Amino acid sequence: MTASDLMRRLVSDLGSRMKLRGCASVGRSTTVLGRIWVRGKGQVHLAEGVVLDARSAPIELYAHRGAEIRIGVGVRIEGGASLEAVSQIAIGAGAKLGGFCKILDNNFHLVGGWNREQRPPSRPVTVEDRAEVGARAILLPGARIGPGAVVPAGAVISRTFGAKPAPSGSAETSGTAQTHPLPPGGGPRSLSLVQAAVHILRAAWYLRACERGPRVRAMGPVRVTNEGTIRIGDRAVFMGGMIATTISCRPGASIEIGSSTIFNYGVSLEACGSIRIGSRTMFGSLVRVADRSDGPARRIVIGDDVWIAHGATIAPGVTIGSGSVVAAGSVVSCDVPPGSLAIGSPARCMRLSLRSEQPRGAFATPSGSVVG
Amino acid sequence: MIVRARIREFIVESFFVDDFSDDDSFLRHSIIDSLGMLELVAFLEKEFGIKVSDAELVPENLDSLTKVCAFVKRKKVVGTAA
Repeated sequence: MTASDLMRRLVSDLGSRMKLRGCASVGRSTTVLGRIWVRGKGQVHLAEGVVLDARSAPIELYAHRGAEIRIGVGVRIEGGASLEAVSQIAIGAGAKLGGFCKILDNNFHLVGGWNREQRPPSRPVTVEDRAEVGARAILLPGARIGPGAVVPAGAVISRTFGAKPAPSGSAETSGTAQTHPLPPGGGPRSLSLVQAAVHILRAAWYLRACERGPRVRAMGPVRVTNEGTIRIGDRAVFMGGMIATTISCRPGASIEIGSSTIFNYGVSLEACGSIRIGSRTMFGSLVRVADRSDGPARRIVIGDDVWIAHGATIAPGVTIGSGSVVAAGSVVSCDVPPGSLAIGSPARCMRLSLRSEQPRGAFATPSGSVVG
Repeated sequence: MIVRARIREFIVESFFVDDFSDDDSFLRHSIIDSLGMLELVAFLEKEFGIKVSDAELVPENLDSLTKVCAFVKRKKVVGTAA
């Protein structure tokens, strides 16, 4: 190796370590390309030879207080991937995580009832050695991917996949449910006055092309293209994250957003006709709502108190009744009655009572399409 | 009995659980979650040639092995009569 090669490698290693300074431990020869978000007050451990290739989109490693994310030797993670732990996520040696895959050990909101600010119990997620998780796949709480198993792109998994689990008690994922109450005040409401003022000012700037009610907040960037009418109700919240939320309203079209509605990062709203969203509705990250695909625009109506989970798509012409839940990764192309759980691709609607309760470490999963 | 054995076999193979009685609630005992329910319904439709409507996706039809067996038998009777 020449002196210049050595210098280049040293500089590269130094840069990677700078980007990973939020991690509790980082093994040798870890490579970071692009932008990494290491967030939360928990611990992130990276073993030797991990490659984080975030050139196409940022990678997020988010360990909440008391939680742990462990990435094994030689793991490769592609851009847009997001790992969010409230208790534990473990990725085995040599595993590969595809672009924009999402791994989370907590659903963060209860499926049933009308108070969705309460956080349900967590269930650890494990991807064992040499397993491969396809692009845009979603691993929900309790998912366990067996050694060498291949999760198809876009699949949604909330159980053991690819191998029989180890006997109870011997596996690291056999832990029982842990309750993780939200901090007092919960979520975005627990902000200081200064932070709230900053968020309100940021919203005033990003959403200057929209009609807004009072106390609309933006914690991250929102890209707005408004050639029609956009009305946003009071106390709506746009959360920050790896990817900006986009709102696009074509000439003559209208978008109405009810009060206290919350948008996670990367949501896409695109109206060529009309999109109407009720109050207190929650949008998970990377949800897509568009009222036009091939043919003419068809009106989309989303009721009050609806929860649309990560990565779901709402097709043109759909009406979602109040109090319903759209599971992660689902594609909704038919109307959803009030108080229903829409799940799968294409989504089927089941009564919300047909879901797990919460004894012994399990709870309702807002899960999505059938495993491939 | 064949219907019951076949459904039990599917649940054991798919969800890696074998310690459950015919009357145990799938949901309350964490045997199957919402996503698993979709897999179970897809299996019933394919295996027994029945069509399950969204309105039938309720706990009264699907929340235990006994309830699922009774539901499948009802659907097969209706299908035969039609």
